[in-house]
Amino acid sequence: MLILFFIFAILAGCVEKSGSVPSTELLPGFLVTTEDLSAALSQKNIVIVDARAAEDFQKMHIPNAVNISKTQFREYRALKDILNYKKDNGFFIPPETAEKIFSNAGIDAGARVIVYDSAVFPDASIIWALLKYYGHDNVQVLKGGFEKWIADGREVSSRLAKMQKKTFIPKPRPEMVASREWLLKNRRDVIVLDMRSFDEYVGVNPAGNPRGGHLPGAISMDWTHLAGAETVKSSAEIQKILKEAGITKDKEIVAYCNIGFGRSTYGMMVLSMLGYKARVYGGSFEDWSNAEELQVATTKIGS
Amino acid sequence: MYNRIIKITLSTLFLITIAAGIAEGKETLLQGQILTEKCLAAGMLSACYIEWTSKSPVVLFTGDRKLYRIELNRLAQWKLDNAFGKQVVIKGVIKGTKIMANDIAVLGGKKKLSKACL
Repeated sequence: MLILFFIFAILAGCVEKSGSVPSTELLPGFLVTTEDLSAALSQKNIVIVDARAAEDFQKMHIPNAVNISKTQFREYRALKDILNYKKDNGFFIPPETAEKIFSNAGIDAGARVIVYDSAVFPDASIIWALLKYYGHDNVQVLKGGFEKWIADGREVSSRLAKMQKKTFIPKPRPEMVASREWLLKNRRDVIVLDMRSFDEYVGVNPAGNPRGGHLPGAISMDWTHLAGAETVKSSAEIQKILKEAGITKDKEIVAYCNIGFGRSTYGMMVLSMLGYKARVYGGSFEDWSNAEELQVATTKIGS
Repeated sequence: MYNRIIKITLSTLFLITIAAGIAEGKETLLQGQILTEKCLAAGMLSACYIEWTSKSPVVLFTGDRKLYRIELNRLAQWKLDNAFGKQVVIKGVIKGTKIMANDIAVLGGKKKLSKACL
């Protein structure tokens, strides 16, 4: 009996150990190394997108890169219009905006897009998610971003590349986005992840919203815990974090942040890299907090 | 009789092992005040000696009067330092009497520890 107990204890230890550090690696095809990008610079049909702020781009960037900063997607629209659009459609970026911005950047159906930001900002994930959402699969993110490019001593430029306009035809994929209505209908069958800071989740920082807190039942997952100098942490580290938070692959995940891109798209990208089925609540907390009829949770206290 | 005692002991150990495996490892949220063991032992919840705030283990004292020694997991030291003496919500994994802290949010309100020289 004693021997049996020790055998059981050892086996239990092994299961726990293998469970805490799963062997699953990041799926290929999401990230590209600086070495690979450097070798591909002269290829035709490659579009390098710098997702940093315009002023950073103008100072220095990867040769031939075009700049698409996140502010371009939110320009010229009143909050009321944005909220109305998000409520019904999920992502607030309408197809005509995506078409205009991506066409001007020289992206068409045949383009291979490589997008980068500094290193640990989520901005590259916005372009990644939008291109995927609008039907363009050939998009990757530069591993380690511009910081790694610089650290590797690779060529930089301050010259603005001649933009060659192409035709981008948006083909939306509704399965990548959750609207408020969809979320209300399906919330029991999904895991809702709050990718904002813990202060915002708890409600002590309402971040400009009429009410602070989080969606009832949402799990706090500050995106910075998943981020690393190589754009994302290692698969083992991320799996450990997800396991502690009780996130499993058997349910679809809905990630949200404050406005529906950036931290939430980063969450969706990282989860997709690990083979999770994930979508973004495009309206995010801005939409939820402004809907007075919906409950906002603050903290659940106790163990 | 001896065999029976052994069986009961082993069964109990078995159940404890299972229960421990279930209870630990998952994140939870706890609310309370950040103090050190020395400040708390002296009942100094609103003012504490400076020396006692740095040379004693940092703990979370919860509303239901439970005590958890705080160990940093993903939580940065400076965030814990900024929260000293304040009411907070901590996210972390409980391991016995410790919480392996991953995140912290300082709550509003006036309860704040002031420091005095020893």
